[in-house]
Amino acid sequence: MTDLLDSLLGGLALGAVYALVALGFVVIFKASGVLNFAHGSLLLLGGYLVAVLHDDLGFAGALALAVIVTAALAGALDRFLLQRGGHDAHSAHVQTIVTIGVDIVLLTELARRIGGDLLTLGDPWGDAVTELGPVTVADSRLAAIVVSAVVIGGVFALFRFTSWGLSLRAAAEDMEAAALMGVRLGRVRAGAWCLAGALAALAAVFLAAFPAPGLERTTGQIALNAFPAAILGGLASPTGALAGSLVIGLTEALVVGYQSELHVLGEGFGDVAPYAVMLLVLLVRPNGLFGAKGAARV
Amino acid sequence: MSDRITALLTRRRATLLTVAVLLCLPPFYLDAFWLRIGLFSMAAAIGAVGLALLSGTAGQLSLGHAFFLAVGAYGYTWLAGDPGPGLPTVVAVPLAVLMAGLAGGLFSPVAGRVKGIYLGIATLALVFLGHHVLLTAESVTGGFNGRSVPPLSLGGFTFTASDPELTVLGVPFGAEERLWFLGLALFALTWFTARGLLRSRPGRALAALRDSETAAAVMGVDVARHRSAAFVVSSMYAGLAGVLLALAFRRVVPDYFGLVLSVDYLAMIVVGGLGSVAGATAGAVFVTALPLLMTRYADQLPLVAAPGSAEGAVGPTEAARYLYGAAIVLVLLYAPDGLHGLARRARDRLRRRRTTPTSAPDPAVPSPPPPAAAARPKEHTP
Amino acid sequence: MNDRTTNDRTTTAPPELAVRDVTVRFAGLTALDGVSFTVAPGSVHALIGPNGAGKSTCFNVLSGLCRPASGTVTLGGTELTRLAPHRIAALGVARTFQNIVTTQGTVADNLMLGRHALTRAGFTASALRLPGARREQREHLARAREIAGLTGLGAHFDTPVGLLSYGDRKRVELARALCLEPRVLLLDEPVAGMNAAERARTAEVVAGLRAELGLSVVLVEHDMGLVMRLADEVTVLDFGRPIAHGAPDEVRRDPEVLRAYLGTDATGEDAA
Repeated sequence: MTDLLDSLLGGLALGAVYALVALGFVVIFKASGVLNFAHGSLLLLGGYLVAVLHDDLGFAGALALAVIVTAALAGALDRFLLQRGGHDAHSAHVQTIVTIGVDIVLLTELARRIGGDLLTLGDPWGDAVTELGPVTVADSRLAAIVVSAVVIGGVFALFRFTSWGLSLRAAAEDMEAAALMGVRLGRVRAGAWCLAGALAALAAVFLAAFPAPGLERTTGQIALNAFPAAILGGLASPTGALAGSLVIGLTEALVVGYQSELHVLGEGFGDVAPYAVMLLVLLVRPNGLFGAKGAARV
Repeated sequence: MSDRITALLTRRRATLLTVAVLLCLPPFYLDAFWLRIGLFSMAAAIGAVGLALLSGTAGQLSLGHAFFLAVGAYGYTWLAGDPGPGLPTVVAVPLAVLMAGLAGGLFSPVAGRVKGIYLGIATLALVFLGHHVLLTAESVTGGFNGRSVPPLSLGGFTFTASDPELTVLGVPFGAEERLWFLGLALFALTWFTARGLLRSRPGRALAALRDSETAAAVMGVDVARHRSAAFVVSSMYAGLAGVLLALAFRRVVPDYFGLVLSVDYLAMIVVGGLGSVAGATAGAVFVTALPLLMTRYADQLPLVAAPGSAEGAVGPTEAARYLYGAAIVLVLLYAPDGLHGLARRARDRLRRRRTTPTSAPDPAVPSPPPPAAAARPKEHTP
Repeated sequence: MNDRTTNDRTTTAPPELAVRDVTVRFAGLTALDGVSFTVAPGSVHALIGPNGAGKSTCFNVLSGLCRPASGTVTLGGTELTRLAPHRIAALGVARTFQNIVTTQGTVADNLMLGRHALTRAGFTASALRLPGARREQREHLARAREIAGLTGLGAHFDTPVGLLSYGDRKRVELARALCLEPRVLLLDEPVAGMNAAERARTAEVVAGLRAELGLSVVLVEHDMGLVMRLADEVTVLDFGRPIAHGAPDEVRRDPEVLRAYLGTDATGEDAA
């Protein structure tokens, strides 16, 4: 029972971090139709900045600067590179592949700087734990759950109550109509990319925090697990991304927690479980759990 | 008119013959290093052509190509090896290719219905799950350390350093020299079949699918079936590339067949120009040869440190990755039809320079399209 | 032309196309509401109505892209509403689109796509360039060239579609549909955006087709002049409902039509 609670809490914390990343995918996809393959390296950049800056600026200062820089880079990437390609569906496909090129360059550079090191981020939670009845939880996990919940709540409020959120939804609905109604697609898009970059930098902190050993050059790859989360939800649905993230986080934690019972699937199946879940879902619903069935329009 | 066509045909045939002869020369003049570059390039080109059919022609993004390469490589190794059925290697090659095709077919419930970007992510699953299986199914795959690959032998002739000893025109024929010709033959087969496909009914159906699914369906193209078929065909080319790579490496290990390899293949077709066989080949050579050449000449290149020098310096592998990452971005933003398109434009320009002084431009032969028009001549349905 | 490629479709009269009580709803919105009409074999039937009246939706039902909530569409004895688009195409129903949808490549490539349903060459035969596949391609290419000539595209047969003028590209769509050797041809605004000369030329082509090939045509068009000239019968839609039906002259005088359609929209769209 304790094991189960343990796994569930761990899964919840992991799901919360995935949600930060998956929400980034969804926001970008809604605004520009692009799937951002450079998300993992943006995340790694955020973590790396916190790691190198926290000695001088303190954790909070380093995090703030990392979030700002990552957001700015993501926004600039969209504004000055991707937006050259235009706003239609074909361009979105091309731009998706451009992000793969960007990812190669950024990731190579960061991996070269990090090398084989394990970087600490100087976060305030360290390896402290809290007793919650029968289970012991790492403070970093609690922090992940609380911070993610607050931030995601804030993002949803942005969608709902700001003019940017309205423009974003309008653009996702019908780009041409939105442009005709005076929505400045370029700005809305770049804004979405900034938001996604900020979320990724924040997620990096929790991915590198205890019980993880620290920030490695492969930390960005964990962001790839948020792909299945976003796809499960349907890629254009923020609510779906949340649900998908929780499903993926819990699945992963449970598979790892019950490793010994699941040994048929092989050691380390937890790492690939999200993909197995995603394939199963896509078999039943090719557009994701919350994705609308694409009506044939001419 | 027909005279001109015949002349053109014979000229094309002559060009083809010249290229074939030129490609047969390197084993007699170049050392093993260059032959290996060529060999890996040919293997990559075979795989890249397969991906070009799927992503460039049919418009389906796939990041799962490494998985199908692995099926081909491991399939051959297992079929011809011990543990495994220990089949004659000549039989194991086509069977391994069919296995890769079958793996693609098994994925068709997803590949036939999921499209574009969604398929890209779905195929990501193949790479990760496949890698997991390669690590786990030790009795078949050898686990983390992989397996050694049985050399191919064709009726007593083995593609290794000896057995039988062979000297052609005074050049001793080792494994690289022999495999060069094998690679050449398999690449010729790929070129022949892929061009045949692209220029006929199935190729046109796939292109139609990419440009407008609705229009294709209304013209009688069975959308799901063609999407699956494109996936199977592309997987078979990947399988063939996998077999050749296994033979060239002489050992297969799981870590080679990771996401990075899939991305490499994507880079090849993008750099080369989506959807053309020649472009995919050029891209394959570029992406394959670049890191190898940079490693070899690291000490002579500015800004690049020799491998194994101080940590944090830009090594040749990193330099190569910067270059081709940047190449993807630049090609897509400035020359969407890739190396292939650049070459074609240069050729057209040359030809125009040669013809304009003597003859007025023929209205039926239009000038080459501006790059943007070449990339997107179609109108979009909302 | 030999029999294998032209098929016997063109020699016999096309079957009757009957639309009965077709209703289509999108998310609570009724796009088509109990629409019925019959296209007599070999006739030209026009569907007209203001923008958003449901004409294109109706075409999507006919070509299988959209499944109606209720109602039937039959071609001869075959029920179409449950068939996939490619099966309907194989029965000889071809269409063009309101906004041009051509594929990359030359006019020939596009027209040969139209021959897809009439040809057989599969992946293996094409990859290995088997003689059967090559012969098939040769024969059908000859027929495609003929059709290009028929639609005035003969000179552009090997030209990339992206380089053609707007009017020519619209004609590529028409020619591609004809390459299906259709028994029923659905034309969605075939002259929209064309200049007067191009319009006249396309009208000529369509009239000629009907005379030569004897196929049924369903025409959606805003150009009333063209409709009056070509159509044998007209069905008028407004907000998804059929409001009038009959010969062009009768419909033109129908007060309901004048109010719903010509009265509000005539000035802008009736220019030609």
